Amino acid sequence: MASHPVILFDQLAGNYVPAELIESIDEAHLQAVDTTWMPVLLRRLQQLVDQGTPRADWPQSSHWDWRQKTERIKGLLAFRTLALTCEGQLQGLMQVNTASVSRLPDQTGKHLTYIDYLESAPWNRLEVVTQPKFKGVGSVLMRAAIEISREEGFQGRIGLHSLPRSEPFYGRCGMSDLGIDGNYENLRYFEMTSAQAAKFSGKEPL
Amino acid sequence: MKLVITKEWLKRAIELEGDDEVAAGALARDPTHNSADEQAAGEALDDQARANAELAEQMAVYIRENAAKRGLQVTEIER
Repeated sequence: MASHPVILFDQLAGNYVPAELIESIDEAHLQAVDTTWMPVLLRRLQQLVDQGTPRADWPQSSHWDWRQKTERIKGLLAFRTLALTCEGQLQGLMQVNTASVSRLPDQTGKHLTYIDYLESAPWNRLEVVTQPKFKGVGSVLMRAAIEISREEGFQGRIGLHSLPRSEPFYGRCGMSDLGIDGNYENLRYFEMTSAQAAKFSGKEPL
Repeated sequence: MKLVITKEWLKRAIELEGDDEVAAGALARDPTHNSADEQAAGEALDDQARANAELAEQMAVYIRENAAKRGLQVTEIER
């Protein structure tokens, strides 16, 4: 399985650290979700329950089941999965679909890489811990989605449905906001054109 | 995939992130929820499995017929 050296920013230590992006989510990653992610997340959920915090304010992706998600797409060529590790721990996961098309009026019918799911480890998220560990997990995974898009001949075009608390970030990335999607849990849909992808990744338009 | 992450690029990306979470996907609270794409993919997989089974059956018939033409007998066909 292919892997790529990348970097993350350690907020607690204040320096950049080497990380690895792996082009597949394997059994070890799924076990890491169960044994390292879930205990942190469940502790936080217990705190929120004890505090009487409304469910709408719980961590956005606390209900996701990565094992089920990867099981569902096993054997399907359109889907690709990626895992990001650093300092021996799983830091992020992403599942993309390369069989999607653009919804932008001037890009109709053009293929893009759709980010099905993207999640950072609980200890990297301010909604779970008071002092998140690594910064850049989401951005590196987004860059990977753009590179997959380029590899597929889609010129960097990507699309995604943002979770509510992530919307400002995607706007700042320069993605086009296509508004609330009534057909998909009323989540806001964003797209990045090839020009926007080039800008985000620091490259000239292809 | 060609992926090169530089410190300069990551620094800028982190500034864009700010304190926001970076997450995408489904919001449904149902733990058994699958995205529309996953559901479609699951159905496609079922269709593919059915198509494969039909193809295997057709291949078995084809092999038996050809074997019979040559005076051979096929007793077992691995699938």
